[in-house]
Parts: sequence; C-alpha cells; structure tokens
Amino acid sequence: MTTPSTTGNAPGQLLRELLRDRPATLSALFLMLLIFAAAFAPLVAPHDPATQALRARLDPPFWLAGGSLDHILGTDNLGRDVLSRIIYGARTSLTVGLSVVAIAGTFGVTIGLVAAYVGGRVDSFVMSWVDTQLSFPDLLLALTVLTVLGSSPMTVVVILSIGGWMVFARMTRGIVKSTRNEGYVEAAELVGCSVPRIIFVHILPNLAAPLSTLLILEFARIVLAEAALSFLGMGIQPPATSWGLDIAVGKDHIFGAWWLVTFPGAAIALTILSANLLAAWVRTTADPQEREKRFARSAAGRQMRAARRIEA
Amino acid sequence: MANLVIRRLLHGIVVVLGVMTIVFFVTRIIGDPVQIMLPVEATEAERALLRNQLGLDRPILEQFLQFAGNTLTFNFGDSLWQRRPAMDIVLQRLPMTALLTAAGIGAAILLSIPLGIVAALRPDGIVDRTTVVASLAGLSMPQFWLGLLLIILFGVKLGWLPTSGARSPAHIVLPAVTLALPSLARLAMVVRTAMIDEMNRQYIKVVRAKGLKRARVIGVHALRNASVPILTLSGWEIIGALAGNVVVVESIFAWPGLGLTVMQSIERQDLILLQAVVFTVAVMAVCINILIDIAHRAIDPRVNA
Amino acid sequence: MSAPLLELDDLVVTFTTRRGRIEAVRGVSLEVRPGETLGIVGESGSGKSVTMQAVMGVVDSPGAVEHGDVLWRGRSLLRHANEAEAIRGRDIAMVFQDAMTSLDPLFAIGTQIGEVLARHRGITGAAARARTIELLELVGIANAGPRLHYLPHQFSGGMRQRIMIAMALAAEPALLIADEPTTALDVTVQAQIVDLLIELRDRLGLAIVLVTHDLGLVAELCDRVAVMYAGRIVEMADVWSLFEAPAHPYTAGLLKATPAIDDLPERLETIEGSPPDPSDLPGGCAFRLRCPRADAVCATEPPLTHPAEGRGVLCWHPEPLPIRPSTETAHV
Repeated sequence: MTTPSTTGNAPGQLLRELLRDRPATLSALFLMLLIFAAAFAPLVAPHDPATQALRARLDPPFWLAGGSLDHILGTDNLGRDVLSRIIYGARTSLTVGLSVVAIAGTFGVTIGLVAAYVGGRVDSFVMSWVDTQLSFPDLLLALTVLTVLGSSPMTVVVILSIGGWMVFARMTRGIVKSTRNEGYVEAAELVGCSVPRIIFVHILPNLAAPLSTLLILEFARIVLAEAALSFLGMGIQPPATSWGLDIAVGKDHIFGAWWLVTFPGAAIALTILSANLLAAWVRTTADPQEREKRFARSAAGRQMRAARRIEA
Repeated sequence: MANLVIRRLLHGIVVVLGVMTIVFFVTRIIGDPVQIMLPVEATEAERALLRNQLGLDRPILEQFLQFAGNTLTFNFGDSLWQRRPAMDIVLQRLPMTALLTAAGIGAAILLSIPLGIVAALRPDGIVDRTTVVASLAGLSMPQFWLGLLLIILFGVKLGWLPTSGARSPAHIVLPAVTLALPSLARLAMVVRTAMIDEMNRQYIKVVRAKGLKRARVIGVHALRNASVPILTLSGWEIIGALAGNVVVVESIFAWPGLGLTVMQSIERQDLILLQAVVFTVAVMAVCINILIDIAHRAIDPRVNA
Repeated sequence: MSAPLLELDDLVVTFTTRRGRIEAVRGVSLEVRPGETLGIVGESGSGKSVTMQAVMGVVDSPGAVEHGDVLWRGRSLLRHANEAEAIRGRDIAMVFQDAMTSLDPLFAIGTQIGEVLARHRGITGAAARARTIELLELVGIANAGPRLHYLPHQFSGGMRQRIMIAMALAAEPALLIADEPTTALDVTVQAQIVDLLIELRDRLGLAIVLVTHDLGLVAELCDRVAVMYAGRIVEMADVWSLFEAPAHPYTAGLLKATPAIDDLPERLETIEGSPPDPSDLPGGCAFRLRCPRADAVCATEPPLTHPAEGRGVLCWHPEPLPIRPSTETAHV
C-alpha cells in the first residue's frame, strides 16, 4: 500500500498529481511549447511570416507532391510560409489572450472582493451591473465598436477586456461571500485579525483553485474570440499575423489548398483543448473528493480491486 | 411567479436600454457616423445634409432622448444600403435566423440528453470516454473552422450537401450542424456532470432502496434534479447562438439571416441597419432569459429568484 | 422457531481509496426473524450503516461487496439482481437518517409515496391517493389530503421523518430497516418517533433492524442486539442479557460510559483511546489497544464463542457470565 506524503513539498506533490493525469501533462507541455515558440518566434520560425515568394505560391505540405522541406506546412497564396505564420500567430493569440485575462481578471477580482466585503447596497448595485452587462450580446457590440473605431490590437484587447471582467467579479464575490460566512473566518474576525490578514490568509486560498481554473478557461475563450473577430475581418489586420486571419485568407482557397485552413485551425483547436484539459485538472486536483474519484477510476485503483478478488 | 416575471421584465428593459446606450455612445460620441456612412468623396454639403437628417447637429441630450424614443418604437430609420426601414429588413431576416437556431441548438439539446445520461451511467465506459473526448474536441474547435472543414468534407470532397444559401431544405444541414456541434459538446458534458452529481446524492440511494426500476430512478428522479443546470446552459447556448455565433455561421454559409445582415451592414458601413439588428438581438436575448427563468421556477419551486 | 427473514452470511464490504483498500465490513453474519427487533449498535465508522446499505444494494463506488451474501427468505439478493430489485422496497424497506437529504427535493411527497405503491402493489390513481392519506395518518400526520402535493422542504424535520416511515411502509414490508432514524431530530421529536415505531411494530407485526449508537433506544425497542466494532460484530445477545451482563469488554465499556439517571457518578467513565481508523487497523482484535483486558494473545484473531444460548462473543477474554438459576428470570 503506497502512502503518498502528506507533509511539505507542495510543488513536488502538484507535479506528481499532474503526472498522474496524462492528458493534463500533455496539455501543459503543449502550452509551454506554445509559449516558448511565441516568445522566441524570430529564432524558431524558419521564415519571415510576411515574406512573399510569388514563385512558391500555394505549395502543399512537404509530404505531398509538390511540397518541400523548405516549407514544411506549405505556403499560402502569396508564397508565405504557413508554419512561420502559425508561430507568429501564436504570438498574437497569446499576447491578446494573456493581456485580456490579466486586465479583466485583475479588475474583476478586485470588484468582486470589494462588493463581497463591503456588502449592502454596494454589493447589490455591483451585482446588478454584472448581471446586466453579462446579458449584453458581446460579439455584436464588439463588431459595432470595431466598425466605428476601426480595429487595432489595442482596441481588440480593450473591447475583450470590457466584456470579460464580469465572470471574475461574480466568481470572486461568490466565493468571498460564502467563505466569510464560514466559522473559521468569523472566529478570526472576532479574535481581531486585521482585514488584510483575513483576506490574504483565510479567504484568498479558497479562491486560488477556482480562480486558476477560470483564468485558464477565459484565456481559451479569448483566444477563440480574437480568432473569430480576425476571421470576420474585424480583429487583427494585415500585415500582422493571426490564426483567425489566416483561416479567412484560406477560406478563398479551400477547394485547392486545404492546408491553409487546416493548420491554423488545428493550432487554435489544440490550444483551446490544452487549456480545457489543464483547467479540468486544476479543478479535480483542488477538490479532495474529485481526487478520490479520479484515483478509484485510475489504473492503480483498478489494480487494487483486481488483486483482492483473486485472493478472496 | 408574476413577481418573478415582472422583475425579469424590468431587468430586461434595463439591459436593452444599456445595450442601446452603448451603441449610441459609440456611434455618436466616439465615432463620427457621418464619416463612416458616406463615401470618402462626399462633399461637405452632403455631410451637413446627412447630419441634419440624422439629427446629429442637435444637442447631445436631445439626440439621446430622440434615440431612446425611436428605439422604444422600433424606429431606426431607413437602411442606407437598401433605402427602406431598417426594422423591415430585420423582421424579414429574423425568421431565417430563428429557424437556423432552432434547428441547430434544438438538435444539440435533444441529442445531448441521452448522450450525457448514457455517459453518466457508466463513468469511464466506452460511451463515456468517447463522449468526453468528442466533447472536448467539439468545444475546442473554432466554429468557423468547423464550418469550413464540413464544407471541405461534405461539400467539396463528397459533394453530398450544398454549402451556400438557403434554397432548399438540404441547405440547412451544414449550417445547423456547425452551429450545433460546439453546443452539443458543452451540453453533453453538463448533462453528464449534472447526472453524475445527482446519482451520487443521498436521495437517489433512497429511491434505489425503494426498489424502483432503474429507468425511473435515472430518467425521472435524477434527470429532473439535474435539469436546472442543463436548462441554464441551454439558455446560454441559444442566446450565445443568437448574439454571436450565427454571425460567423451565416457568413460562412451565406445563410440569409440576421448574422449575415450584420456582416453586410458592416461591409456597407450601414450603421442604421446594424443598430436595428443589435437592438432586435438584445430584445430576443432578454425574452429567452425570461422564459428560461420561468422554466427554472417551474422545475424547482425552491429557486429563489 | 420460524425461518429467518434476513440472513447476512460473512459479508465483506471494501472501499478502494488513495490511502489503500479499506475494509468497512469485515465478515458480518446475522439473522433477523419475523416480528423481532434487532438492534445494531456501534460508533461512527463501525460499519453498521454500510452493512445495511449492502442489504439494500446501495453501496456505491468506490465501495463494493467483496465477499459473502445477503439472503431474503433463503434467496440470495446479491446473486439475483432482478428479484432483488422487486424485493427491496416491497418486502424490505429502509428508513434513512436525515430525511431532508433523503427525500427527492423536487417531488411532491404524495408522488414519492405513490410511486412505491405503483411499483410494488400496482396501486395507482384515486386508490393510491386514498392509501397515501391512510399511511400518513398511520404515522401521525393527520389531514394529509391537501398537503400531498407539498415538497419536502415545506415540512418540519420530524414530519419529514414520519413521511419517510410512511414511504417505507407503503408496500407493507415484512422487515423495516431504520438507520439512525432519530439522530437528526430534537429530543422531543425523537421520543415521538420511537413511540411511533413501537406502535407500528405492534400493530403490523413488523420485524425491525434498528441501527443506532444510542443505547437508550436499543433498550426501549430491541429484542436482540448486535454490537459492532471496526467492521465486525463483537457481541450478539438478547437485550436483557446484554445490559445485565455484557460479555465483550467493548460492550461493557459502552454501558459503563452511559451514566444511569438514578446513580450519577462524579466523573464520567470513558473507553480509553478513540475508534480505529478503518484504513489502519491493528492486527488481531481491533479493540485490543483500548481494552483493559488485552494481552499478548489478542494480537491474533479472536475466536467466536457462544457462552450461552443465543449469545455470541468475539473475544479472547470475554467477561464470565453470572450463573443464574433457571427459576429466576427477569424477562417480561
């Protein structure tokens, strides 16, 4: 019988929990690869994404006739290398995604904390505002604003942030409110702990796991949203690179050059998938009951049951 | 119940006014609509004329009141593109979007329930694992990419289905499937999770101990209790479709609904038509929200609105 | 002596967790005869509830019955799943702890009782409604007609427990299993429920299995008692003998720890130590670390002995029973 350590070494334990969940491990690896590629794009990409090579237009991926190892995933209608565009596109998606999540997350969590702590009228007002704004058709409004103002990366980030803070506020407020009602917080307040101490020591740890999950999921949603906006022509504009933009370009060539649509789309899909798997892992790991269930279903659990049956 | 409806109605009005205020703010104050709506070569006189026609030379407050009044009477003026009342165009296109949404999201909801239930009954069984994997794939794929892939597969390579327009019943298949798949993925996951949660509850143990048939335990007791989150998500999916996803799907498949109208009005810088669409969608979203809330209350009378 | 209704034969139930394989029930054998009230006493974690859950077929993953059998009138319930489904709810019914979480929150109580009638006795419609009202009256809820469509949360705790009992009796079972039926209730309500159980038993000739940690309840209601500790039955006796002369040191400890109202001690007696962690049981007799009579031999599995007719003890050093002349019986 293995007894996992219950003392110390939190990072080590987390790593072990991660390794127990193969899909989550793969997802984490993929995302790290993505971040690496995005950060070091100029070093990693085989070509400059904007260089046009009219003679190498619409070359297929290297494993098909007409392709070459020079352009592993083929080229687009202007002879630009698909793989390089994907790598630089990662830069765009990650930048937009992380920026929005950082801004919306910070703003939303702060509002949620304040609302939950101050309570009363302020709380009601803030929550009504959150509910109202959540009911807005965000893509339509984004399109309207972008039509009027014209689109730029900054505008896109701002618009997505404005539409993205509400979930953070609502979640934070919910957790802070319910934690505050717990016995141990009441006890801390009675004993005279200062408000910042109560927040940081007692309340925030409860927030860590759900917030991490939400951050990852929102990141995925924003990447998707930016891709959709760029696909519709209202997001990132050329000459900048974006996965959504590339798919839009590829749309006009699906009958002949399927790879223009397939690879950028696959990049988006893999990113979102990895984020979802990782978020699921965070959620399961943070909840002891879920961890138990995961164990019971895992190979180790099944082994234990099988072993006993043979003996009996 | 009446209380609930009234409260949600009021909230809905606030939402719609909020949306339109933003539209007003963005189009009049930040941007210059005349600039956008007229071609670059327009003379100053033409601009002044349009400004006067649209009432843009009046004080802001007066503009806003007029705008609010117009909105509440569904009067947005004439579309610049088609030179007829914008609302007429909207009302003409609305049924197509409603049809597409009903077909797509409706199918997603109906399919997700049996799928989610079977998956929940045998966690980690074949159906469960397939459902989870397929769902993860389905909700990770960008909808526009999915649509294009379907076009490549069914339209180009296999040639089974039409890929553009709405001339025949077969034309609805691909757009509806594109709209449905990500929703189906999310809904199936929620059904599965909700059912698993309910099956683990104490009262289900009691119901089983009563010796009731398994079908009743699952289909009547567990499902009814699981319905609340399923209903919530269904509402979001419908609204999500109307408020955004149809824009992408209709664009790809040239389906003549409100989504396509949005892109067409953007292309033609027709802010009037755009505003009319935004307003209509906001109102529809509010109505659906109210219906969902009523349904919630009907299922679970304990829910405190 | 008539044939037993319910028999448990060396039942073993285990749970598979990250901390290892936990045996919650480690070989429990007992029988319940028609019309008798059997009490199962034990602390939390002794495995008493899980045992009864196994009888009703509601032991869920990560738990499973690993060994042994449950027999109803001689037929195995574990091996014949379809029959078992029909028997449960109809011939054996269970009343669970905490009626608030035990009743379906979204269904009217009339429906919840009605579905038992429909499933097991084929009674529906107006007849079902009439019978439901009868049952509710039987458990002390008068004028139930207008309230049949109420939801559980609209009733008080005591009434919900009565509704649960009515629901369990709906199909006229021969055996009623009551798992801590009074634990979640106020003392006054507890007394009412106990009286109700006594009345029902006498009127309907029910056999009852009462699972509890409350010795007072056992004294009031039971004919025989099984004492469970760490997944095993350590003592089994008729109620009078058990209270008068407990044979197992654990039982003795429990009784000593319950102060008599007419003889309040200066200091309360306790059993040293705390109940064992099911994932980390001491080898041999599980009670030996807390037992005043334990010695070296207790590190091996204790034998099951029968010091008298109808008594069983699982101990190396059971308390010797007083010799009682046969003319002197204190039984009623």
